[in-house]
Amino acid sequence: MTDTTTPAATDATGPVVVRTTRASRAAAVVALPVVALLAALPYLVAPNITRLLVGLFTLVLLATMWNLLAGYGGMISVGQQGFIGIGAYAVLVADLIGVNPYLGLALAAVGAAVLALPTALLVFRLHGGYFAIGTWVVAEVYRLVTVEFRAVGGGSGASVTGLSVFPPVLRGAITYWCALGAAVLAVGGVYLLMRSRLGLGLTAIRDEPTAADSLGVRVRAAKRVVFVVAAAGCGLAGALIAVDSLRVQPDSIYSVQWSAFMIFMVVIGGLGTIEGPVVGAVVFFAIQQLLEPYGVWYLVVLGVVAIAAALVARRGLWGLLTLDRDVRLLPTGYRLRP
Amino acid sequence: MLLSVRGLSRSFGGLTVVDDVSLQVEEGTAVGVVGPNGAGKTTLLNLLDGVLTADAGRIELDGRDVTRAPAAQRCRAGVGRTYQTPRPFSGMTVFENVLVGAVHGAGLRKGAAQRRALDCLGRTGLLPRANELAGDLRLLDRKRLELARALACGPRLLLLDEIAGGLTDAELPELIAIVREVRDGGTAVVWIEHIVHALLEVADRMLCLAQGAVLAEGDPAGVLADAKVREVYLGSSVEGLGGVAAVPAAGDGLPTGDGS
Repeated sequence: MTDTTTPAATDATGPVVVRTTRASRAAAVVALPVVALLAALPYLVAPNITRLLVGLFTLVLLATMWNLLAGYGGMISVGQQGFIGIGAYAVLVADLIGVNPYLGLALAAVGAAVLALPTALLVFRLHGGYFAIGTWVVAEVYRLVTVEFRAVGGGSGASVTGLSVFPPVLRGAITYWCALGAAVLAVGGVYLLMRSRLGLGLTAIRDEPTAADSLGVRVRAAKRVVFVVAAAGCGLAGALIAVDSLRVQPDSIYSVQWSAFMIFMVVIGGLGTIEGPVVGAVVFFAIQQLLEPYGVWYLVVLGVVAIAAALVARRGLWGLLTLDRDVRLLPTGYRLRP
Repeated sequence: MLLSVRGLSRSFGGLTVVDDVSLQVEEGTAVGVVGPNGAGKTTLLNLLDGVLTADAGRIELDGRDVTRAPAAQRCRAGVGRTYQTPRPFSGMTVFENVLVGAVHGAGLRKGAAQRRALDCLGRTGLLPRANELAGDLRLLDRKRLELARALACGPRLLLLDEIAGGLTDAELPELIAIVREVRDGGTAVVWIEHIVHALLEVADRMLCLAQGAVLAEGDPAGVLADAKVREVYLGSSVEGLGGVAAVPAAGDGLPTGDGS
């Protein structure tokens, strides 16, 4: 047997690793003016329009966080409302101690992230369906503990009063900019995260946890980072809901319906893609706005859309829109060009 | 001594699958592991790699006790392994699969990791498949991918689990050349294989397991000539030994015949 060496792949004319696609380069060119236009909207349109968009951006943030958890981290949580609630109450606490509620947004994200660490210790002992239910139980515990505090209104909740110093138009604009910033930060942050070495490890864990372990991926640490980041994002979303509605009510802010909405948006849009949850959030928002006057019909339509998507768009609307051709505006992978 | 294993045991329920196994492997040498199905070969590999934890015994890597270390930590300390049944990251491309080993196992940074991944793909002949999803690969390429990923970790100890199984005679020399090259580069190799003539091309020593325990150990030809080894092998339906007669280099002192 001769010691035949295999052809070298390291010579100077070897293949080149590319991380952009034609679609992504086009998206990069379009993204900047679009975000700039959105940022200028408070000067261009009526406050009721930007008010609506705060709701949309919050949904984009929530969907992106749930996708990070489930689509990339493989953690199906139905307890993210726990962190949404913590975030909203962080605004109330900031308000109570005389801190500007807008600074409370940062406090909310940090607070939710800090709380996520001990929560992870607890729920990471569970897997699959048990993990899902476990996160829900933890969220309920957060709610039950929260309503024990009279200072934040106990079971009936409280209002955010510190924002009354701002004229309504300015307040609406600042809230809008905060929501836009949070959504852009979430989508951009998840994009950068998934392009990093952590993202590579996470994708490996999602596909084959045992092999990932054998190849040196710190499975537990990677999942913990995802859990903490998703908690911070949901905390921020809860805070945005609070500064937007000026009222925090424990039963609704800690409601499991938030998890249902997040799952709906991500599954409809496309699990495990960065674009999918954004599309899902837009669709959900549209259904919500169009059918709001029809009461319970809104839930019926949501159900029908979910079933239809499950039947005809197995890879979500993003898969349908791109005809399953794996078009990525925000590609996280690697391609070799010879 | 790179790998030093003493008194390693592992049971599942009442069944002792690995029973008091000791093993020493030096840098730049290869140990072949043979034994009938169910002898505990793969479990031994899982214990060495950290996917399973031993009930008793001690594993030292370069003098450091790693008996309780998780697989990821052992990988970063220099242990690479392949799975008998390939476990590709199905939704990732072949290149990305290998990059995982280079980035997380070897701890290389961007450019260096990509060069390492390309190099490993080249060595295993997978470069033309680099952009394909690993889940779409056929068996032979999945086996190659197992090897490429393990190599990307830059292992000082390479654990191979039936990497030659399912390969044709024409494909074997290429694989043997890769393993030999890795060993000659100073890596210690532990190779489980039923295709004994492939093993004989590379193995400096041979270990035969039966019912979890070491039946024979030492010079490959000597181990295969051992009466007890011949009995456990010829008493079972293992393909490899039937083929050894056809390979001149492996012809001496080996059990011959087709196993019947």
